[in-house]
Amino acid sequence: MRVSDLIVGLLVLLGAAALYSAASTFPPIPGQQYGADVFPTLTAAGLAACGFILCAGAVRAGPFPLAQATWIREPGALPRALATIALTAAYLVLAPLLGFIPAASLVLAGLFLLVRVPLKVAVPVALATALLTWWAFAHGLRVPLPRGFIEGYL
Amino acid sequence: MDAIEAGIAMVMRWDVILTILAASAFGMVVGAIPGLTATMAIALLVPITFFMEPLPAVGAMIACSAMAIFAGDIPSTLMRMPGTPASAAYTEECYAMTRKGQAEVALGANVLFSALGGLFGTFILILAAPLLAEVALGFSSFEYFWLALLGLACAIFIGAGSPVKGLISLLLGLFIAQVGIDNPGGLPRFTFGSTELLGGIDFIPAMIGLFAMSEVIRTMATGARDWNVKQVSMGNPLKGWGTMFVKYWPQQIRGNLTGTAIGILPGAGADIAAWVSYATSRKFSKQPEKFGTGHVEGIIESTSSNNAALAGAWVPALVFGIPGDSITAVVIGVLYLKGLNPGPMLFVNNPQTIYAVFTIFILANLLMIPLGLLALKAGTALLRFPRRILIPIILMFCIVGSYAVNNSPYGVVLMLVFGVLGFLMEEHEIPIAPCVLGIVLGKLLEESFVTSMIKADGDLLAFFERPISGTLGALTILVFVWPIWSSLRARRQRRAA
Repeated sequence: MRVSDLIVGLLVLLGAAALYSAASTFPPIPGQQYGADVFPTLTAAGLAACGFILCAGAVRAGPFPLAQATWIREPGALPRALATIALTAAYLVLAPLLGFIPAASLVLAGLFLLVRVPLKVAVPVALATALLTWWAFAHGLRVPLPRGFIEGYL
Repeated sequence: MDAIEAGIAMVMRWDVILTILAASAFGMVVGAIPGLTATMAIALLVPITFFMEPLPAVGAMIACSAMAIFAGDIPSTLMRMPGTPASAAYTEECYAMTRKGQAEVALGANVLFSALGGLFGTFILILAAPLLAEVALGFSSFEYFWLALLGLACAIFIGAGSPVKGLISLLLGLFIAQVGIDNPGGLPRFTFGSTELLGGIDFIPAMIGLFAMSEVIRTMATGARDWNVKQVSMGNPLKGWGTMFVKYWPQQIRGNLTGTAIGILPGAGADIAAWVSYATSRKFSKQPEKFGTGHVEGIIESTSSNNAALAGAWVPALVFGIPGDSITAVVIGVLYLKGLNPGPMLFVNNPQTIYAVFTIFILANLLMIPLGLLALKAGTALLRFPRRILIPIILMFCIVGSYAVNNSPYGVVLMLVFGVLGFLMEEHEIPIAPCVLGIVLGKLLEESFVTSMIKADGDLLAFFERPISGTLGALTILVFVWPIWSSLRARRQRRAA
């Protein structure tokens, strides 16, 4: 999932412009010339210079194939990467509703199935991992992991 | 003397020793798995250290990183896949020895010389850190500004393949450090109205995201296929220790010295040390033609070097609060959380803790020999553990670890965002380490710069007026100018030819 250095350079230039415009709204420390705006402005200037160099280099080097990394050519690679991110985000939604053990089991089972672990292995391993993690963190280290609807049973 | 005794007594407790042993085992497992770095081991360990006393927490990190760096040599030797980037420099050489049926010699050399390198680095740490701390007591914001900038400059120009991409990564880190209200003006910056962002970006979930989550995404994308471990008959790894020690002592000493020096340099760590040492070994070898064919000489020098660098990196971390590498960058965050604010005053106010840290270093490196030999036995079995099971479990640790930092889902959100960011950065060959150093050093750099500018009434020359500040300034400018000058010179020579 790689884009050309020209696009990266343009994104960096865009970020630098946004940073500069935000920094220009920060007032200086009263009675001083320097304040909260100095560093963001310097960072924006540095980023702008880097963005420009990257763009110039990319233009000089010529056209660039869209996908260069070897893994992207493997079938299903990009959907698997996106599904991993989506499953992590799903945990954030599910954990407060269902509690840690069911949410973690579901997410783990989903991840196992994603990399073709057989269902009969994925489900018990997911459940066992969730229970062990619960035991280690919630019981052993006293981390208040979300309990969800199973609150009354634990 | 009392402080030394007190320091040793602080370590010689069953809970500290047990923690060190457990952390070593954890470091061994993570280090031995290709793709999972020593920094990732430390990042995953940090949430656990929250629940420990300061000293076992520091001990766990020292032992874990030392063991992970060594354990990276196991898959490097058996599978031609470096377990950690610090092993990459001599992977080909180790694997060539395996093909010749000498895996045990390569791994035996890795155990012995890693431990000796680590002990040498510790010796220099013990000697240099208190002396430097005395000098550092006289440092003002000018010197700290240059030191921080020097660390960042080294990270860009020594570590990164493309200096421009290294600089982008660094500036991104500096921007991340600017988020929140903790700045010279006390003004909320880039918080977008979020109360959680007012306190700034939590360092630990960011680290877990950048180092661990990004690798999980990449491995999941490739289907987390199992490694192809060749069955190797492993003989006695102790074989040839005496001969190697006698025959290659100059290489070992040179590796130790190079590694420690590179470690002390802010911003450059074990992986760079190993590359430099391997190249040096080849250059000065009497048999350079044997390099690459399974010759132990280069392995000894570079494996000594990467473990020596690990201890060396603690010198600037403890004395100035400036990380020597990405591992100490994470460690510094933990030291602050534990109330052990690094800097010269730690040596004045809390000398027993410093001696306890030194004792842990010695202990961790001595333990590396028996534990390392055990790890060699367990290593092949570990590499046969299905990766499709392991990687999702690591992701669950990332989630719970990030949550445990503040007992809030905000940590998990940060971890995910930084995981995706780290993944995209690496996809585009933008190195992560400068970004991490930027996050760690951003506040110090800004504070020392703005304070200095206010003190000097805007006169930039004031940064060069004090002798140490002037020297550090000149050195930093040299680090920035040298690569540009040498690339211009090379271009001119190419044109002339």
